[in-house]
Amino acid sequence: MAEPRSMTAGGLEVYRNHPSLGVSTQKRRELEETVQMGIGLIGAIFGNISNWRHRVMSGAQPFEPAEREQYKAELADWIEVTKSVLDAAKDFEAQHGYGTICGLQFLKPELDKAEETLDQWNDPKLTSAIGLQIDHLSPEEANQMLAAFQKREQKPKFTAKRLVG
Amino acid sequence: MRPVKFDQSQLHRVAEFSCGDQPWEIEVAQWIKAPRGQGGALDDLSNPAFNIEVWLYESPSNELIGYGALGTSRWTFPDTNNKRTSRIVQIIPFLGVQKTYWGQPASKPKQEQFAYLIMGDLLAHASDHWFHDTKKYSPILGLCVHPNNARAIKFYQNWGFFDLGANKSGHLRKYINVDGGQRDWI
Repeated sequence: MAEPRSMTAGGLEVYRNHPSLGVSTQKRRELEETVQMGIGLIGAIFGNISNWRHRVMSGAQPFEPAEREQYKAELADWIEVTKSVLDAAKDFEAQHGYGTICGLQFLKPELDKAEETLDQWNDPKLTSAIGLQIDHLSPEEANQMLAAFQKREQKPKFTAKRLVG
Repeated sequence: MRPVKFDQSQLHRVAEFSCGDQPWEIEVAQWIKAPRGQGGALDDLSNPAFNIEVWLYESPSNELIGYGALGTSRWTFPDTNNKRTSRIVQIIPFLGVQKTYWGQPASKPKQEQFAYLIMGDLLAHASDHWFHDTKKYSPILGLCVHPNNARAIKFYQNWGFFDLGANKSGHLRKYINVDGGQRDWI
């Protein structure tokens, strides 16, 4: 007796390619999956760039041009692929009706944001505000700082009030 | 005196900002005046991880008196297993009063003069941050001051800041607990 197919061991593929679904349904599902992956991927790329920028700006690591080129290339690749996905989706929707590809409306704004990020690229630079740079305390300084979290008597000596704008 | 949030649209207002000729005073002016890409306030505002807010303080007739900034940083240290760990601290990156307004209004007591009002506003913001979001913020508010900046060191001492050694560039670290006294100082 044949083993029952699980979702992970072939079941999904069988459903996906089942002849009763029709070519257009399969194509729509492929496009929807591609769109979802594209949105997830650009989120990861933006997150990596943001983390890298912070590490450079806070002095946790030096600026490396090679790293910049890598991130710019990742953005450029994503933009190129996404444009072709949007073209394919546009053709599909022209045939089968607009709004049929789930999630497509979220991909275009991500493409605009990626293009803007690449066009207006500025390299991160170490902040000139010393206090914002990552700082390393000695064990003794760390003990004093950690104790200060509990020392509520170490409060401001004057009355402080928020000014109204 | 009233605060106005600083952003790109306000850059022209700080073009002539000056709070003295000493290197540490020039540093304060340069940070707020720096255009994008030069490691100044506008760049730091674009980095969400710094959690930066910058306010310009102006007179009722819209004259620029000074500015103050508040953000977060990490102070790292070796833990008991000698691995590096860190704590978020709130930070005042810079606070500056234009030189013509130093010690003004002279007729008022010290704690009602411009520099003290700006510091009071920053401390109250820092305390509110901690009160409303204990994950993102810290009750410890720190800053770094140039070791030759006697005027600022005295100012922070007056406010009750404590010493915490010096960083690698020789700037003196200071801190205060903005959760102190169940916030009876606000």
